[in-house]
Amino acid sequence: MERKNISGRIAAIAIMTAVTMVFTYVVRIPVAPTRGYINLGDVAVFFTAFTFGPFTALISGGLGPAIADIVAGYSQWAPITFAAHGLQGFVAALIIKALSTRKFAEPAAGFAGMIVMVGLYLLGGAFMVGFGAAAVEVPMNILQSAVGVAGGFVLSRAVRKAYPPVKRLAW
Amino acid sequence: MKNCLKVEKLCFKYPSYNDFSSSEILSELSFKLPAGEITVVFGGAESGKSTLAMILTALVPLHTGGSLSGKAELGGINLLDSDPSNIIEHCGLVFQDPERQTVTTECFDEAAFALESLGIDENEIKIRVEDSFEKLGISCLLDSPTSETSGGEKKKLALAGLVSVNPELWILDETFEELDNPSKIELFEILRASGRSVLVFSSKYFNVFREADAFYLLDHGKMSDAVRFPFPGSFRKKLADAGIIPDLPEIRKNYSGSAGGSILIRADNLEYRYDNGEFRLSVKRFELKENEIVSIVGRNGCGKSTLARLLCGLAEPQSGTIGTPEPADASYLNAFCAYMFQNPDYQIFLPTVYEELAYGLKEAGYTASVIKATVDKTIEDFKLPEADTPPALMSFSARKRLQAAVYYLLRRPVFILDEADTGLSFRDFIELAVKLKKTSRGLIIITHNLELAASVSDRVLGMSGGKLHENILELSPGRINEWLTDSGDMPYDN
Amino acid sequence: MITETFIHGSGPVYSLDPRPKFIMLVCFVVLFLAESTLAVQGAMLIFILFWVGLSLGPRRVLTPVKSILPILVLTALLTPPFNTDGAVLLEIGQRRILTDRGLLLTAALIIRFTGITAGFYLFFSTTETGPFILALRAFGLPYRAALTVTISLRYIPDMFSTYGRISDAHKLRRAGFEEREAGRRHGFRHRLNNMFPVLVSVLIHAVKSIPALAMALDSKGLGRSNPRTSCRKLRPWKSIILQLIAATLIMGLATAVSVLL
Ligand SMILES: Nc1ncnc2c1ncn2[C@@H]1O[C@H](COP(=O)(O)OP(=O)(O)OP(=O)(O)O)[C@@H](O)[C@H]1O
Ligand SMILES: Nc1ncnc2c1ncn2[C@@H]1O[C@H](COP(=O)(O)OP(=O)(O)OP(=O)(O)O)[C@@H](O)[C@H]1O
Ligand SMILES: [Mg+2]
Ligand SMILES: [Mg+2]
Repeated sequence: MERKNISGRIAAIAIMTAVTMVFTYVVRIPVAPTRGYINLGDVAVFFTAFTFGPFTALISGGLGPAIADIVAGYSQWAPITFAAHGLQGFVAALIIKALSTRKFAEPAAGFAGMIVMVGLYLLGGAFMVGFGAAAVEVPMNILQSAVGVAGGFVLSRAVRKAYPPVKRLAW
Repeated sequence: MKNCLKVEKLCFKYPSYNDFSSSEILSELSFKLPAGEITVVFGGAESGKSTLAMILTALVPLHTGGSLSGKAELGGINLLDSDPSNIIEHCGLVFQDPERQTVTTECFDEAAFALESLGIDENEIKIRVEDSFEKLGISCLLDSPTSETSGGEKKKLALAGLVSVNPELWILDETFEELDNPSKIELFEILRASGRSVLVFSSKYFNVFREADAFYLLDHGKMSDAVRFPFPGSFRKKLADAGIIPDLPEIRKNYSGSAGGSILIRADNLEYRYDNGEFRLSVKRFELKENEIVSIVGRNGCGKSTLARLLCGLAEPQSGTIGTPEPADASYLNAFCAYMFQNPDYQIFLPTVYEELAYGLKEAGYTASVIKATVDKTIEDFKLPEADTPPALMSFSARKRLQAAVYYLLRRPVFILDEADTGLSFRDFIELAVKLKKTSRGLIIITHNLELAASVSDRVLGMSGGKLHENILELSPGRINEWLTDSGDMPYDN
Repeated sequence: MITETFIHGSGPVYSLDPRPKFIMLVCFVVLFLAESTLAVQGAMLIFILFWVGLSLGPRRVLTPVKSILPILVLTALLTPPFNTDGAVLLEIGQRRILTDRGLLLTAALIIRFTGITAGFYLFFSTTETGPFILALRAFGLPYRAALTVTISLRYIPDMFSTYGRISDAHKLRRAGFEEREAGRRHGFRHRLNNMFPVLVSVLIHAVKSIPALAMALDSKGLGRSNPRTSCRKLRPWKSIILQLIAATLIMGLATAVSVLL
């Protein structure tokens, strides 16, 4: 691209924010029979990271789940969510960029993203509700993130095939 | 006379992707636009009208990629090398699909956005926006959210944005579609009164165009020579061949009414109002008989789409019943009555044309060879691009035909075509309606073209202010004329 | 709209300009997170809940608390065993379960989290989205960032209905064949199988609207070099000077008390 395509970038970030928010908010998969859902926010975050690159992933990955928190009435978590999911996507996309063609690039990126997200939630949670309560969330977050990596990877492939021009939108 | 726009040897090709190779859309296209004139460019399906419109506003190839060569100059500005946002005071475009042009939630903000970008003083913006809404007759929308507008109102909103900026060159991509007849006439008067150069793209001939200054036909990537009204015989023939002028005798031959018998779907004492807003729909009685085609015409925002949504169970009436003919619930209506949305993009979303068409067949458990044969036949019947084309890269009319093809394969008892003629030539629309008629037991057509409606349907119902009226075709000639000027286009005569 | 957290109403918190309101929210969160005595934290919590009750009605006082009840229970159960300094209050075998310091810490955590939650709840219930974003801009959020947020808010309801419409359309295209499947168990895998094409479709729909949106923004002149004007504005700073002074006094008082105690 010769020209800096500002509106293209804004458009990509805005649309992917909306997608991530909706994936976080409406699509929930019930897991254990006891309690709890995992949401598909991470799928959208990793999808964005694999398809659009680090900056789109950083902002839309953070903003989407944060807005979902606000709308769902958990706005107190929004700042932590913004950091955790934003950096999750950012780190994953950076690693993909660095390892681009190498084998295991996606799993490595996914793993790093997972560590960042789980770590930040634990840290933030420890401040807000104490270490013990925050630690309870860890396994759930790991599971959710793992589903996210796998789902994001498969979806990114499918979409790149169905809509080849999408590669122009990465930066 | 001074030229406003000068286009020379324009060649354009979209990029090719793995499974999708594109061919040249424009080849050495040249033409001139005199300042202050209104020019209409006709073009059949996929002739590259929208592409040309977007090249002239520098949006293509910036956002789509592609190789472009040639020259396009507007009063000394080279349009092809410009940054699109920096030329909006010189040249403005109303998109073919106004919904894609909407970026804000409030109608006022939507029209004010471009003026804010231009750095115009706030008070001035208010005056200009209110003035443009007034001109287009949509002052009532000043405080409305953009999501609560009808199809035609969306077009007018996008137009208001252009009117308030008032650039030197106005480009309208099929903007006369989806407008009712008085609105078409008003729009033409606005164009004339602006004194600006106007370039209108259209896939249909409408009678308001006869006052325009020059006409072209865009065909095979080239522009024909300019003609004036009345059209020379050869130009007229080309338009008729492309289906841009309706060939009504031909249409009538295609359709022979065979309606009658039992009631297929009926509605009694329907009352519906949106949670917010003034609009109120109130329909005493509506029925569609076995094998019948019923058309509904009426002005923008009179409630046609709302009625359609009720009939196929997408919205629940506050009171009244809908039956097939026994009262039925929403999910039953959903499967009984297939609603083709005004906007095709809501209904096509799979990766390729093949997958779109094969989806339902696969679910039905047909064997691979049957599916392949059916899909190939459908692609041919509906003049669709190759099987592995991604729908996202197809022109508006092609997406519209794909939407129809998907519904064709669903084989539902009733189809509702909501302004399905939008962006299609007369011929393409008629062919499409005839095909859908063959697989269904009844058809409801919503259109702004009374002439078209009268040729393909058994009854034409008028609608105004949320109320349904009697069969227009049975009215006295004087009253028919009233409806004609109100909701239809006059018959073509040269 | 689905994204609206605003609750219609009137009263002092509503008429407070979003800028001082936002400053106060940030200050409260910082004070809650800072180490201070239980009494100060409790006072701040009561102060916020008082305004919740006054602005949104007494019944809504419990809404924010209810939404976080499970996590408060977890905090109460899990914090003491990890913090066992101080005088032992409860011991099982050799393990210290509850100490006085642990108890204090737990109470502090509960009050802190409830306070932050109530603060955010009050803020977003009494502030509309538009003014909120304008306030962020007043604190230095660049225009383009604010625009990005505004546009994504515009597309969220769209994307919700797209999701609904697409899963309906998938269902509709399958309609008639559901009976055939009715005998089968609709297990987890089955639902996942049905969900995948829906997700792909939603993403395709979303991704292909990106260039269209970019074109729309360009055709509206986004990214021009000249400065923009703006029709939607907050009141000038001068006219909210009293509100700012009041906010500073309240926050200053709270800060002073928590530092001194
Ligand atoms: N982004 C794109 N990438 C590749 N090909 C494209 C793209 N957009 C459009 N095309 C192709 O360019 C051709 C012309 O499309 P265009 O939309 O300009 O036609 P049109 O004359 O406006 O048609 P319609 O009457 O249907 O609106 C079509 O065959 C279409 O498939
Ligand atoms: N979601 C909504 N909420 C509130 N009002 C609405 C909503 N959608 C449409 N309206 C209003 O209801 C009226 C009827 O709308 P409808 O879409 O049925 O019109 P229409 O006859 O199909 O018009 P057109 O020919 O322009 O498509 C219009 O005045 C419109 O402004
Ligand atoms: Mg077009
Ligand atoms: Mg309509």
